Amino acid sequence: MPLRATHQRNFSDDVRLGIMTAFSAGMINVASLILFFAFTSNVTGHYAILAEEVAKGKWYQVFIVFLWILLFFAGSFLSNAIIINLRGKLERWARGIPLLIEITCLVIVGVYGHFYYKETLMETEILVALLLFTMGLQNGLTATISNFAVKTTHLTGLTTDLAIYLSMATQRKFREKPEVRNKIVLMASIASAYLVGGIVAGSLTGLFNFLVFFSIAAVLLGTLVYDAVTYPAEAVDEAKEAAKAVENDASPASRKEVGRSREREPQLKPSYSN
Amino acid sequence: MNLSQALTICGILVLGLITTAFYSLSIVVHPEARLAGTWKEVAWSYEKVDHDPNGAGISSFFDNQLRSEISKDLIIHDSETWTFHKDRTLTLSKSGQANTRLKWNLKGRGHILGIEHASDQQEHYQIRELTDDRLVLHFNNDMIVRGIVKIEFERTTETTCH
Repeated sequence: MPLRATHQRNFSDDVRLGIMTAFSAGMINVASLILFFAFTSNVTGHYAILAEEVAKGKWYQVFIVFLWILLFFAGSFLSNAIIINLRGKLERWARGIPLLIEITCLVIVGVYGHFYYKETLMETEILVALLLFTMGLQNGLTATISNFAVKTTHLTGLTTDLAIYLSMATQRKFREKPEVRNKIVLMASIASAYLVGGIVAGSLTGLFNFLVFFSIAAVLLGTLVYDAVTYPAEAVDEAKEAAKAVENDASPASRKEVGRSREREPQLKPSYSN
Repeated sequence: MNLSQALTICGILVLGLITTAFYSLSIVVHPEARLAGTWKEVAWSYEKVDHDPNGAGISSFFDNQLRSEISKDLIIHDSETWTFHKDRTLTLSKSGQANTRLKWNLKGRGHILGIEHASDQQEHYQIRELTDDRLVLHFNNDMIVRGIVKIEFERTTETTCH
């Protein structure tokens, strides 16, 4: 499911993508919190800390937190850059490479942490930076390929959206819309998977320390391999054609694809009139 | 934008980041270097505390008995002077008593102080303030009432660590 092009994706692809990536994000965040005392799957708190450290004039901490935010940004930038530049050329792997980089980073953190980590502050800061980079990569990947339907490394926006959709579901006219029900299922799945991932990491990290990152990498690698094996060649060819058409931006097919991808994202606006 | 342009921008960003990193790190004092040295406890107090359910007043500042009661299960029990060595060992001492040798490390962005005993007992304290001559640690405690305990230190000597 991570490999499928945006216009080829359906609701169940997004749910599976959301569950898999939210589970790993929850695991990474809790593991890093236990091992490094730093959150790594979201940057909202880091922005607040950055502001606090600037106000206090703690310039070393300002630099470190800014670096962390920048690494998350760089991950997301790189993820999307890879996808849009390799689309149509290396179609099968355009969306898989960011995940491979994420897996590599997780293995590096696991190996370094297990064999070489001496608990110095600089090691901690670098490993946290690497994990924030992987989370930026993952969030950029999921947001890009799902047409912004799936974001799994932070739950603030998702919790807000889930509350809004559940509120809409209190009225029959919204409740009967499949897109409202699908959104609720998707967001509830992501939130649950993130929580379960966090609980699993909380239980495993105390026992296995840095080895927990190997299990996260294994989950992601397993998913990627499964998806690569089951991604049909015809779908790859079709995605290549669509990507080329979009690049040329001339054929009716490209406009059709863009239209289809827009259709996937329900533009639901609460109605205040009776 | 093609791939080579994107990679060029990434390269410039990374180069700028590395340059800024080296410059920034050369002009600021690293938290581990700032912490190294000898610190003397000057006060224990409650930073925040729940009201005593029995209505008895809880003094913000601790007397020796309250301090001893609260810290009795902690590694830092009855210490007076903390010496952070650069090899990340920590010596806790009290006049007339044998020293306790521990390990220390900083976590997070340098805001968490970890202390590890030879028996693998670990404790973590939040560093609220760390300047050249003042150190303030916080930790949560619910021995008598639930609250955040604040330990204040003053530097007693210049860094004399090995």
